[in-house]
Order: sequence, then C-alpha cells, then structure tokens
Amino acid sequence: MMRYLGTRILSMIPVGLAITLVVFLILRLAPGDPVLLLAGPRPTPELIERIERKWGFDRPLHEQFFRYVSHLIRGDLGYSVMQRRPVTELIALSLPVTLELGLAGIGLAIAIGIPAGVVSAVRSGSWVDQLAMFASIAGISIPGFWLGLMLIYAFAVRLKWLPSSGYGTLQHLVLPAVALGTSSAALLSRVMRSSMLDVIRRDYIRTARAKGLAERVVIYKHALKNAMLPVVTILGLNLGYMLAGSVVLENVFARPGMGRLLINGILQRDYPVVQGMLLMLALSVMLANLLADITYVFLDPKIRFD
Amino acid sequence: MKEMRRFISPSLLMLLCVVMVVGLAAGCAPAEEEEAAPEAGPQEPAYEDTIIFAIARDTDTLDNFYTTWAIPVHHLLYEPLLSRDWNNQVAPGLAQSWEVSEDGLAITLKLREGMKFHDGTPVTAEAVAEYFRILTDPEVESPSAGDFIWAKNPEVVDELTVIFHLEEPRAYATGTLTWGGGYGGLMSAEAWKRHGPQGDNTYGVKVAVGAGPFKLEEWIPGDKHVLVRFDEYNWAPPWAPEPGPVPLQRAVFRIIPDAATRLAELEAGTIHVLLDLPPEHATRVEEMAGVRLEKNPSWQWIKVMFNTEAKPLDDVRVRKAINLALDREHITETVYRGLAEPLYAYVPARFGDEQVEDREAHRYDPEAAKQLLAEAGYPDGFKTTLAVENRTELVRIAEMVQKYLKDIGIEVEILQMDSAAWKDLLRSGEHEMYLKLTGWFSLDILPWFLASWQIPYPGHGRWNDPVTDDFFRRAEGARTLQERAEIYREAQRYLIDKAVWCPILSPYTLVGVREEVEGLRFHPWYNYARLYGVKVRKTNK
Repeated sequence: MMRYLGTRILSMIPVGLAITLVVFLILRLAPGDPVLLLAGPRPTPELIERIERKWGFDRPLHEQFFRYVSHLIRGDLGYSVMQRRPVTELIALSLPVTLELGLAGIGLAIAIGIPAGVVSAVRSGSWVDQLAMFASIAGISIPGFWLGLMLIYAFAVRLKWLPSSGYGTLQHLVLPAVALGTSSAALLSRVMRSSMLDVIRRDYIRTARAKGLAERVVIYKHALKNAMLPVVTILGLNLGYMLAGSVVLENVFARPGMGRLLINGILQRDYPVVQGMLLMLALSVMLANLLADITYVFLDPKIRFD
Repeated sequence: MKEMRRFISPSLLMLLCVVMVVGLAAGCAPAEEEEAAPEAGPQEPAYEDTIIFAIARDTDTLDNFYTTWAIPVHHLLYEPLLSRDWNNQVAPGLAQSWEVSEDGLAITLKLREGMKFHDGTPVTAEAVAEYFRILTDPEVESPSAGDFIWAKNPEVVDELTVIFHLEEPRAYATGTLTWGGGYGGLMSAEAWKRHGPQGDNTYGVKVAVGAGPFKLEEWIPGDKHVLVRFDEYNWAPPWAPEPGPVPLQRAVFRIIPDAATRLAELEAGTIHVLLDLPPEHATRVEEMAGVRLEKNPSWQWIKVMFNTEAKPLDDVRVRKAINLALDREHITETVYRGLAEPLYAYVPARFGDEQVEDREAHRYDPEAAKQLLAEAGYPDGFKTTLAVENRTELVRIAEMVQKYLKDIGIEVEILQMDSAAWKDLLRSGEHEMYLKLTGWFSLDILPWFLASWQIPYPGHGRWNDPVTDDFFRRAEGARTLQERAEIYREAQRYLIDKAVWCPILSPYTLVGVREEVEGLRFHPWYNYARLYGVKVRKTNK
C-alpha cells in the first residue's frame, strides 16, 4: 500500500511538469501581452520597454520557461504581474474560498444523491422512484449559473432569507453550495440507483435475505457497501466538474475564490497567476482521483495495491 | 418552602413562565429593532452608518503609483492637492491657494494648516515634495509618471509652501493636480517607503495611507473594500456642503462581477448604489421600486479609428467617406436606446467649450460618401477589417458600422477578440480599422493617440504628421488654460479636416441609487467618487 502510494505521488511530478509546459506554451501563443495592461491606460513607449525588460518578457521563450521551472522547484510560483504580489500568497487567499464551496457542494451532493439513489433502487418503480428520477433529470439539465440566479431571486430578493452574494459567513455559502451541488447530487443519485439495482439482484443478497436478516441490514450493510464503488469513481471524477462549476458560480455569487482569480488572470494575460492556478487545479484533480483509488481498498477487500 | 408554594399560586407561576418566555424571545430578536428606537426626537429621521456600493471590477492595487484601474476607493483615501468645484473650475484641495508665475515656470502651492495623514503624521510641504519625487522617479516605473513629469523638481520653501519648478510652461499642470484617484491624490511618502516594494511590500493591499475623508480598514481583493471615516479630517474643499468629517461612518465597496447579481442586490436593498450599470439593464433599474436611475454625460466616447498607414485608409478621401457613411443618430438609438448621445466631435460634450463639434463633416450622406470613394479610385468599394473588443455594446456598434459601410460598397470583416489580444494587434501595426472606447477627461488625450512620438503604442493610428505634432507641442507649452484650449480647438478643426477618426457616440454614466440615499450628487469632474454630505436613511426592511 505504502509503495503504491509512493509511486502514485511520484508520478504526479512528470504530469505536473507536462501540464506546466502545455499551459506555458498555450499562454504565450495566445495573442496579448501583460505589459500593455501593466503600463496603464496611457503608457509611454519608454515605460513599455522598461517593464518588458524588468519582467523578462523580452527573453526567448525557452529561457523564460526554464527560469519559471527552476523557481517552481523551489516552491516559488512567481509574482502576479497585475497585483504585484507573490502568486503563492494569492493562492493562499483564494484556495480556502474555493475549497469551502467545493466541499459544501460535494457534501450536499453526497447527502442528497446517495440516499435518493438508495431509496429509488429499493422502491424501484414506485412513485418515490419516479419523482426522484424526474428531479434528477431536472437537476442534471439545469445549468448551475441559471439555478444560481434563480436562487438569488427567490431567497435573496423576494424572501430576503439569505444574502445574494459575498463571502464570509455560513449564510453566504448556502445558495452557491446548492447551485453547485444540485447537478452532482442528481448525477450521484442516478449512478447510485443503477449500481444498487444491480447489486440487490445478486445471489448473496438473496442469501442474506433468506438467512432472515432484517431488510435494513441487508440494504445498508451488504448491498450499499458493494454498490458504492462506481459512486466513488464518479465522485472523484466529478471533482473536476465541481472546480469548473465553481469558476462560473464564483462570478455569479461574487466569491473571491480561485475561479475568479483564474478568469481575471486569463483576461489580463497575467501569466504567473494562470500558470500557478492551473497547476494547483491539476494537482487537486490528481489528488481527488488518488483519494478515490484509496477509498476502493476500504470498500472492496478484493482490491489490493501490492 | 411550603409557605412559598402557598404564596405562589399555580396561575401566578404560569404567568411568570409566560413573561420569562416572552422576555427571552424578545432578547433573541434581531438587535436591529433595539437600535432602531429613535434616540433623538421622533421627527428626526434615523440614519445608517454605512453606505454600500457595488462595482463590477476590482482595482489592481490601492497604491497610486501603480494602479492602472482607479476606483472610487482611491478618491476617498487620497485627496488631491487641488480640486474641481460643481462648475468644473479648479478649486482648493489640500492646497488652499496656488499661484502660477508670470513666465509659467513656477507653481507655488500653499497647504492648509493642521492636516494629517491617516497614520497621524502631518501633511507638510516636504511630504508633498517627496510624493512627487517618487512618482516621477523613472526607477519606480509608475504608469502615471508621464502625466506628472513637470513636477519632478519640487522645492520646499517652508513647512506649508512648495514650489514646482517647470522646465517649460505647462498650462495644464494645475488641472493635473485636481485629478483624484490613481492620478494624483496624495499618499504618505513615508508610509510608502516603509511598506512599498522596497519595504515589506504590503502597501496598496494591506496598507494605504492618504489624507482623504476615509481610511482603509480592510481590502479583500475580489470581494470588498471597507473604509472607515477619518475623524481627523478637519476640513473639506469649499464646494463640499460642510467642512470636517463626513456624516457616514463607513463606506463599503463590494465587487460583484455578474450584472444580474448586482441588480438583485440593489433590488433586495443590500446595496445602496450600483455603479457600473450596463445599458442593457437600465430599464430594469428604472422599473425597480425604491430605486432611481441616474443618467449623466460621461467622459467616455466610442469611435472608429484608422491605421492611417494601411491602404486605402491612408487616403483622407476614404476616411472622409467612411465618416459620411454612418448614421450616428440611428446607431446610438439602436444600440443604446436613449442612454447615449451621438457624437459629432473628437471629444464628448462633457469637455464643454474645449470641444469642437462639426455636424457637417459628420453628417449622414451616403451619396457624398460614394462620390468621395470614386474620387479616391474605389468606385466599387474595397475590403477591410474592423477589430473590436468582446463587449456587447461595442460588437453591436461594429455590426451597425459594417452594415452602413456595406451600403457604400465597403466590405468589412469584424475581428472580435478579447481585450489583451486586441491591444496586441493594435501594437503590431497589422490592423486596419478598429473600434475604441476611450475614457479620459483632458484634451491631452489627442496627443496621446495622435502625436508621432507615440507610435506604435499608444499611437496605434500611426498618424505621423508634423503639423499635428506642432499643434500639440504648442498646446502643452501654453502659458494659460485659455491659450491651451484655443490651440486644441484649432487642432481639432485640423484633425476633423483630415478625418483621422470617426466619432460615433458618447454613452451616459448610468448609476442605480436606492431612494434612502440622500445627498449623493453627480459631480462634473469626480462623478460619484466623493461622498461629502451623503447620508443613508434607515428603512424598515
């Protein structure tokens, strides 16, 4: 297990490097130049030249890349061109904001999606199942940003129960978490339902029932654990979607998270910020997948990583 | 105990319980209600201590030396040396008087007595001199330095007197000193040295020390700025309703990028003033209960610009033809629905008598346009491109320009791109026509774009003309503002005759204000960025 973890973590390094290179090239190949933004609305030609020299944008590409990577190895993600602050500092400020929303969204998805899926499967074909599956279709189809705006209109403008945007308290988290978690909850409930249906028709479930076990024990102890495997996979993969979704929702709900930082960075061609952010996002997706793989071990004794 | 029990009858016990429960519930009720109890007479309206603004885009830094995107927060933190009154005339600021010498080479400023920076240090002539020394130091690389290059030789005469020695006369220097925000509001040079790039590098993010009516409590980038009243602000410009600290205790600027969310907040009453209102949402604000829409002329204008080196745009007849082919009134009405003014001049009407309007040169006359094209050797028109930034209004204007130019035979391909790519294209010189939104408040915007020494950027029109250059040199070296304005008027007539631009319209400044906000007035120079005398009435939510 430890050896497996070690190799998995080590293998993240080349992937991270490859991502760094691709992002670096794409950014530089895209037209646009941070210097013109840095020089203000009324730049003089001399100032433009000075700034270019200072930030090293006049150096050849490969030189810029190796300089970046050598700093990266030392944990230095560089300076934001626009905000004149270290990128690590910006990430430290915005990561908790995004993480908070992401975790709340996933938590909500699990809390709603899994029970809904189980109930649908156990009472397959009943009105409960049909209602849940109708709701899940709606949940998957509604785009998060639209749902967000509707939630704002209903709960902030009309009912005035919750703040419509901003960041800081638990109340501020509710609407964006619902907007973010809904589609994942819907997806999870469908996956859970089909996986559960598959499991409860198996022989060992029939055996368990024949032994005279209580239905609750059969479902929650024997069936659920085995039905969880595909759900965990989906959860791991879904984290990427969650991060993408939070980029949009952070705009709608005016939360100062990584998504906002990334969008502004792209629009302003703030190379160090975009590189740093994408590297962080890639790392978190890789970590989530690793976490999903580790969870398999606990769910299924047949899986071992030796 | 027995006596007690006898003494307290069951019904009394129940009553006691009820009283306790009600009392507890009252104690848990929102504290607001308690505060709302009027302390003064019942007729006196109660006021909130905080005003909340919403803006679309956050600034890059609160450091005046480096900001490229000034927001009202800069204006409230940093007071300029001079100001503008309600008639847009130069008025006292931190300096209570100013004097320009006969030869125009010395500007003497006398500071008001007893003013302090937010950190308690006095505002002195030395502090002013040091601020301008740093601002104009080429090593500091300030994007605003170019506008203050005349101020690089300050002389401290005494505690409150500073003289700027100019190398050549510059009539507009005093005008420049009235710029607030990121363009000349005074920062404490000492605080900047301690906390700026050479210090602990927190200036402009965690630290901002000025002498304005508000000081910085907190800035969470991308989220909000919280400003608190500076109680030692013991004066105000003469045009403010009253001197001394402002009535508001706090001013909060929330950054809400999504326009729909900003509108929802305004409707819910969780923000008081919505700056940055996109024109497509103006009608919704007009229909909102308890909110008023303010429409005022702006410092912004939109024009088609030409790369005057690209064929056939190098031919003045072609540029004139394009100018005659556009129905500015129709474009303005279609895209902005009464929220902009068609523009027949090179700067918007807000420039007052500095503006030269020429309705003849900018009339809608497709026949004359076709004739000019034929004279230039293009009777069947030609193909060209129009580069435009990805913004709804700009793209719609570009599409209308495309349609009108098609009427006279010119095929226009619209190149739609994001701001950074668009600027890059302009700098490369490979562009042809381009649509530009400009926001500026002084006529030196003309040399900014059109002087030959500004090529390739920001002189992206590549207008290389000695006559124009001469106008600009004379105007900037003029001794009086009248003389300067006269030269610039002449320059505008000349440039219109050369058709170097094709002005289209000037959008209004649109702002949504809740009705409980009192005293917020549109200022001809600072828009809504100064909050003297502004109050927010309490409402029963």
